[in-house]
Amino acid sequence: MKKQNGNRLTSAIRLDGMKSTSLQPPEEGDVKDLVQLIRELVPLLENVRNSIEESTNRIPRASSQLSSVTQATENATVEILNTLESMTAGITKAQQAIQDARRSVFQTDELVMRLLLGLGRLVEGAEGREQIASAVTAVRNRVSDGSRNDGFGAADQLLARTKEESMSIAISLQVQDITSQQLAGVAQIIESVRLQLADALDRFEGGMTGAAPLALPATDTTFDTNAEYTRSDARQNAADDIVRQWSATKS
Amino acid sequence: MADHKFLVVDDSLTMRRIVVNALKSLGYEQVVEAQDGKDAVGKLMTEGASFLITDWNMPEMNGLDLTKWVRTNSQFEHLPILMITTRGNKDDVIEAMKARVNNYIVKPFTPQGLKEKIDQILKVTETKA
Repeated sequence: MKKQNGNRLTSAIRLDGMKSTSLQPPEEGDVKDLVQLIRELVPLLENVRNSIEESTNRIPRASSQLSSVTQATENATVEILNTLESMTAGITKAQQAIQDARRSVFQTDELVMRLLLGLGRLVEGAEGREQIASAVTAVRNRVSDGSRNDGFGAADQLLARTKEESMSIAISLQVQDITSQQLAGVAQIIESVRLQLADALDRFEGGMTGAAPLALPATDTTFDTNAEYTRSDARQNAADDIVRQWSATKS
Repeated sequence: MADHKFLVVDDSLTMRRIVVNALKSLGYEQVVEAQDGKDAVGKLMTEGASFLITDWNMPEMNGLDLTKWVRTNSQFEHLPILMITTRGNKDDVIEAMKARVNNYIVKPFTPQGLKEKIDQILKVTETKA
């Protein structure tokens, strides 16, 4: 039996290496070469088996690390969003306070102007009226000076711009969702490599024949492996074109 | 504007928060959240909504299946649906349109883009109504 196997192997070696199509009976030298080849192959195959085993055992750790990265970035992103929301709420309150202050100043100005008007009438003909009239005019000018309102306006504009910028930061945080989908895609590839390596290991240990072909898990549909974070409008414009064409055919 | 009640469906907490914030910045204060299609069906049945914004890729029930469920349910068949997803291939957009979403946004979105799409959808649906 062993000799027959040897014949087949020798013939196979000849077929591959020498392009010979004739079956020759093995010679003593051939058998010795074959034994030597097998002796050399065994430790080599053992090394391959050990490498596969080591790689297979390491992969779950890599997948787990990817999962931890995703979780950590999501937690950090939510913390940033919390801070941004708190900032935005603070800005809204400040804008409201500015509006209230502006209204209050306007109402006070009206009262002061009315008072000054009455005061002006009272001092007519009185001694030293020029000085009083001059002081009244100075106060009226100060009250009607628009620069105080400019200050309110500038503060309001600054707050509005800060609010827009905080929204812009929040919008950029979509990158977390998109990269987590890309990482999930990588994790799936790693898992399929692990399964293939485990299958190869089984074949080493259980023999090459009779093993069922490896069944890879179905593609996970909870993420998009083609997800990409880009500021380009190209993908949205292409989608808009399709939506427009579709809507036109349906209307 | 303030009358609309939005249901935002996404399995990513980050995305839900961002969409909800964007809606609030546009003046829409009534927003309900769901983490996948199945959760969204429950929220629709118990809390209702007048506008649905959904992701596509989700566990349990994805956005496409949710859209199909909505369109075959007489109570919600005319509910405006905006899909916001990373899937930007032509075939994906066509599949979503076949499932009868009203419009489609490819992530990452901008508040301006979101506003435009909501306004477009409401203009059409309110004209029909």
